[in-house]
Amino acid sequence: MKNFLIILLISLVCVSKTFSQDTDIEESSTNEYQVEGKVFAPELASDENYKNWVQNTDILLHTGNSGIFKGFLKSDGSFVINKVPSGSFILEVHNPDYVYEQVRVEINNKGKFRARKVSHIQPSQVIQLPYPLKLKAMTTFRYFQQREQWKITDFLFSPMVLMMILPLVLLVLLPKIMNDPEAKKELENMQLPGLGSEMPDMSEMLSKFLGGGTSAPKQQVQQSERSKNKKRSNNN
Amino acid sequence: MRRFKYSLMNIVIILSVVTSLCSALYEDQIGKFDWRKKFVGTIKFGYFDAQNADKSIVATDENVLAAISSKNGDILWRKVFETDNTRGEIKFLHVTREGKSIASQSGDQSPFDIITVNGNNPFFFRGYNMNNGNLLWEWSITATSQDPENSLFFFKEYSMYHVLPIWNSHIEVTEYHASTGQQSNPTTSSIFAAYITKDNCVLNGQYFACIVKEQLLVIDLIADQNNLRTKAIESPNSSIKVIRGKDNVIQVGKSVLNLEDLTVIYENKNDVELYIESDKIIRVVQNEKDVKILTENAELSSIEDLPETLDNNLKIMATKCKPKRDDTNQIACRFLLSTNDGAIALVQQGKIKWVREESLTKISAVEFIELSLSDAQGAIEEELNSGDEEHSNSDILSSLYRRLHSQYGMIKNIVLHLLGLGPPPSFSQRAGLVRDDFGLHKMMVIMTKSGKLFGIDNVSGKQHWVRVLKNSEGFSNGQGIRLLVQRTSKFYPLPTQCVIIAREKITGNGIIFQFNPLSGQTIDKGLLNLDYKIKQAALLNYGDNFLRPILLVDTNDNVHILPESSLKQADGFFFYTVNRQTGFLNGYMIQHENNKVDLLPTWNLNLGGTENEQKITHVVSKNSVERVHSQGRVLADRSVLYKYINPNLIAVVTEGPDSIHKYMLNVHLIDVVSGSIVFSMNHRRAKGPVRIVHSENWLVYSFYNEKIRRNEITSIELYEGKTQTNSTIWSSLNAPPSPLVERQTYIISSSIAALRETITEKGITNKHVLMALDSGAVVEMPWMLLDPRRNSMVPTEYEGIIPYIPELVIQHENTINYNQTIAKISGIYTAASGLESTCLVMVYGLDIFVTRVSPSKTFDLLKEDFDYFLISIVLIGLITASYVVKHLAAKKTIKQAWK
Amino acid sequence: MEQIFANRTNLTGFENSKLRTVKKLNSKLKFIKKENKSLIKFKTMSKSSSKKFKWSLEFNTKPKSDLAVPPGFNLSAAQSHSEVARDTDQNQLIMKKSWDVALGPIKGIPMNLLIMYMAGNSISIFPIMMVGMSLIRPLKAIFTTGATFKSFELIQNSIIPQKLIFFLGNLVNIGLALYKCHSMGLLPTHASDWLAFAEPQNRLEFSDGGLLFI
Repeated sequence: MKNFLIILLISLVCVSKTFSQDTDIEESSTNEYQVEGKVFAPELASDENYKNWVQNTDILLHTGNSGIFKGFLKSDGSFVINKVPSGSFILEVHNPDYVYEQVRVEINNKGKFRARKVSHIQPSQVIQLPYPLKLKAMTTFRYFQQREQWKITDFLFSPMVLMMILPLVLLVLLPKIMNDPEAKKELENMQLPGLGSEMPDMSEMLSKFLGGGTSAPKQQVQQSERSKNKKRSNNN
Repeated sequence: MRRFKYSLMNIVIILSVVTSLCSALYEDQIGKFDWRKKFVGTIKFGYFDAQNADKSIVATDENVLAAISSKNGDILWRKVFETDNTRGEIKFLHVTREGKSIASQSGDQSPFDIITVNGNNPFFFRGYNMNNGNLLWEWSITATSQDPENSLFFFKEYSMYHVLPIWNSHIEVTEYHASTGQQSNPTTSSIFAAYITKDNCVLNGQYFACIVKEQLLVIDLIADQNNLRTKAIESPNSSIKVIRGKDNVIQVGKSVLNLEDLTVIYENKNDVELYIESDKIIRVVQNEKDVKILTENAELSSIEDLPETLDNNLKIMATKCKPKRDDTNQIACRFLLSTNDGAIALVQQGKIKWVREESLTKISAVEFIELSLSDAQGAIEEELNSGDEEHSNSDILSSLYRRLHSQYGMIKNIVLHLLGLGPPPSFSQRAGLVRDDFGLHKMMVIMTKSGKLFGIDNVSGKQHWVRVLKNSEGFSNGQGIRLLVQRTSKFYPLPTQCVIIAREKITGNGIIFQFNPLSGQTIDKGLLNLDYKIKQAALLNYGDNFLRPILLVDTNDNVHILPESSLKQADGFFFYTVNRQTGFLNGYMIQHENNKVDLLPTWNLNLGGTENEQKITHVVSKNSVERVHSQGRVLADRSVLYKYINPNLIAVVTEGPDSIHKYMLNVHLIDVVSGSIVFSMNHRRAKGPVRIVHSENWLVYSFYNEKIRRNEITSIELYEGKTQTNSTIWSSLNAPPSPLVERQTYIISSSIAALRETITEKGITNKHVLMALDSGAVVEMPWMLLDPRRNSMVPTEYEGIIPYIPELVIQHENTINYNQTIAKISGIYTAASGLESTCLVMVYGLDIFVTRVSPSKTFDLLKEDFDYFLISIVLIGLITASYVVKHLAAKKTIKQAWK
Repeated sequence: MEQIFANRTNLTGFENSKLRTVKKLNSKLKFIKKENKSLIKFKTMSKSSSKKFKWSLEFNTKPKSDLAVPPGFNLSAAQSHSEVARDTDQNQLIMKKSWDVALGPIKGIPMNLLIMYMAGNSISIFPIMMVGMSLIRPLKAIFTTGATFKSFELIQNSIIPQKLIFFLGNLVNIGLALYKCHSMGLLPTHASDWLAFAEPQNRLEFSDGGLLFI
């Protein structure tokens, strides 16, 4: 509330100021106002950059009905747009390198100023901004894509390469570890005693399976015979 | 809150999609295939920098104030005022002549060097610093008297004077302190002068001079008393004009007068261009191809063999003279010259230091023309052609003979060339104007409103040729000079041919100019003055010799075909005219009977409304060279929604006031063959400026929504349905029933200056819409975002449709001109290149920007950053590794065998 | 993956060679056994007296019944099989074998179905490879029917029914693969699949015009 009052006060002061100036110049310009404000430069390295910034910055006031009004920056970054009728306008600071937010400036018939954020989707939403306008650069424009640079790490950590490298490591390194006597000992120690002796031998298992499985082919043959007969009967 | 979350999610989705869609530039690509040329416009006022004349300050008809370097013609700084003349027009420019800045009286203001007055009530007074163009002060006035647009201004000793002549009544003079705008006297002084009339009076400096019958009356506007003086003149009612260069010299009839003491200082017998430089009268004498710049007794500069581009009413805009060191009487001068058609030249010691073609700020038509074949390729083409002609002996042996023969010829040529004895290369070969592999190199043929024709290289920006069509102008109704391509470069060895259709300035009759767009040379008779006024013009289909004949309709509805041998070609051609004022559309069919062609009216349509309140503002047809590759759109269930591709469809935009809704905007889609309205859209409380683009089966247009005070963009898509009525032939007379229409409107945060779709050779590549914004940026908008089928708020994975979000987000990465902003964009031109993926783009306005875009990324070209090194290293590595491994494996098997 | 399929197609070959491999394995095992026994023998001999040899290996000794058969060894495995082979009619066996081969593709169907189900409908390298294989394999098998059944042609009985069954089984497999293709959207069965080949319509009428120049 306090803020609002202050803003109101400021805007009133401004209005009275514009009125006084207007009367100075021409007596009857009661419904023409001036929009004023200041654009703050981003932090620039040198004076030369600042000069360029001033030269390349334009203020556009989109009036909708009567085209675009333009304002130019003075060297301190302040600007004035004269002879603006009452209404609702969008003010845009345009610089090819820095992004500034649009501001909606409203001047009512009595010459009251109000600046607020632009919301196209909810036109009735009001977020008030100080007037005279104070505009700061939001960011720099990002016009360019970053080129992808080839890095060895990108290559190495790609899943395909990882998938290839891990088995390779296992293949090459594990036998070496096994050959190393100390490591072998360690491994043996790690194993639970008695477990090793109880582990069945692979070949033994195979032979057992095959030996025991001798009946399997027999059954199969019999099965096939049966099915063959079935088929035959079906065919017949 | 939920909704907000939703939209946030949507935005995230969109951003991710969009960033993957666009093919933005890389930083190292700056200037690689794009270039921008900055312009200022045709000079209205010009001054040299007083100190050392190393720059000239100019104010132009494009509402631009600029400083141009005298050394090379570069723009040092530029201020672009409002396009709208009520605020932007430069009425007055004063640059300090004394060599020092004009300090304000109070002394607390910084010194200023330049004053401008802009606008037509209100008037804006601004002061600038000359070195960097910074604005120092600004104030404005609004005149309340009648006809304030007649206002005149002059500057005298720290004061600006506003002079408002009320014709046949009095003159109002108001004095203001220059830098603050404070009135020096509280009241405006009125000088009663009932004799002043618009045509007979001029203001030069503080003197207001009028011719009244046989008298010259001069009013000193500053003097308090005795301000009126008279002088009898020889011939009554002679013309009166200001001589540039000094504030007190005018020309009455043929005599040049000094207004301070009313003495005749010179008799301008031949009525040549005059200029005054420090009390010396400088004449510009132009004969044929030479120009001499003379004082009364000495020649200052003479240019022999004036280039064609400057050969149009050369005027001196500014001079700066210094006495020569060696000779006391002689002076050395620098001249800033300007022609009627906007060229600016700086002449020093009889030499043209530089020329700027400022007519390029007013482009009326552009075409990109494919270059001709190189000599070697041409020889191959000829070999093939000769085979076609002699069908009788086109057997294998003879073609082998031809092959060998032409190769022998090539080898001979190479040898001779090495020895320096070969035949001279053709013109285009020498100029490097031969077709490249990818067809990216083209000739930009630019027709300007001032009647100047340019041939500019699209890669380097070099100007290859220029032609001046004197006394030609665009047509009324905002129809500029037409540039049509009659024959493209594809028909070797027939030359490429373009035609210009314009209007004669004085008689209003038609002008036809046929030329070769690659060399700029005339074809046939060249400039052809017709003896009738042209009502409409059109290009027919390819006729004899692969030439597209022109069809002209004159004001009496007679049809003319050029060349006349192609009369038959016009038979059955449909033709329509649109009357902007009445809102009437007329359709005709052209009938060929008894060696005569006639217009047969077939339909008419009134779009003007009952009281003709709707005015037609735009008539947009599709690009005639456009090709549509995909005939339909695949839906989620894998069925096809066939596009309604009607080549005879045009979009007509009408705007007008409305009793209920204040403003109305209508968009009609009309089939010009049958005259049927296919679809109509109506926007209430919407008004222009409308920007519109019409392509394939869609239409996109932007307008201003008065109700919610925002810019909106609407897209419409037409579909035939799930089945195609006739898959082989399109006939508008037997057209399918009314199409299905999808439409959607989006909000866009900035207003749009121009719209254009990208175009490619075969139409396989996605179409993007190029949007020029008022800020000077050109943004590539993927069609996906404008898609009218984006109607669901819920993300759907089918068809790849992005959920609807009311606001179109403009991605800065999609800005094709990065920080190279283009001032006052008036149009975008796109042309297909030889690469299917790439589309050539030219954006014009006050500046010209040429680049290329690839909407679906360069899928037919290796990436620029393709790592040849890495790939070759990997290949070589793999090959060697496989050999080594093979060897090792062999060794191992041997070892194994021995075990 | 590929290998698995290859093995499965060679099922018939495997069946054929099974006998042989089993025999081989048995003889190897016998050899190992002998070694073991001789070692045992050596030990016992050293313990007892009469030192004619310090140790001896008897390769040609036949297994004696008094020694226990080592664990995992079944002497009758190979013998019984060979007995069966010897016992049954040669023709009958070949007949059975040929039926086995003929029914192979049909038996593979459930497995194929499972694999297809597991592969999913997304289009990526592995499902595509899988579908491609399941399509090519039966096709190949059909074309090499003759070669597959060549070894069974010795018998008098006609093997045409087997061939027919084999062919039908492969057809079913192809059908399955096609269905998989269809469900993956790889078959051009919709109008949209032919859209890219649709030629633009030829226009009959040509038109031009615009705003009046006057």
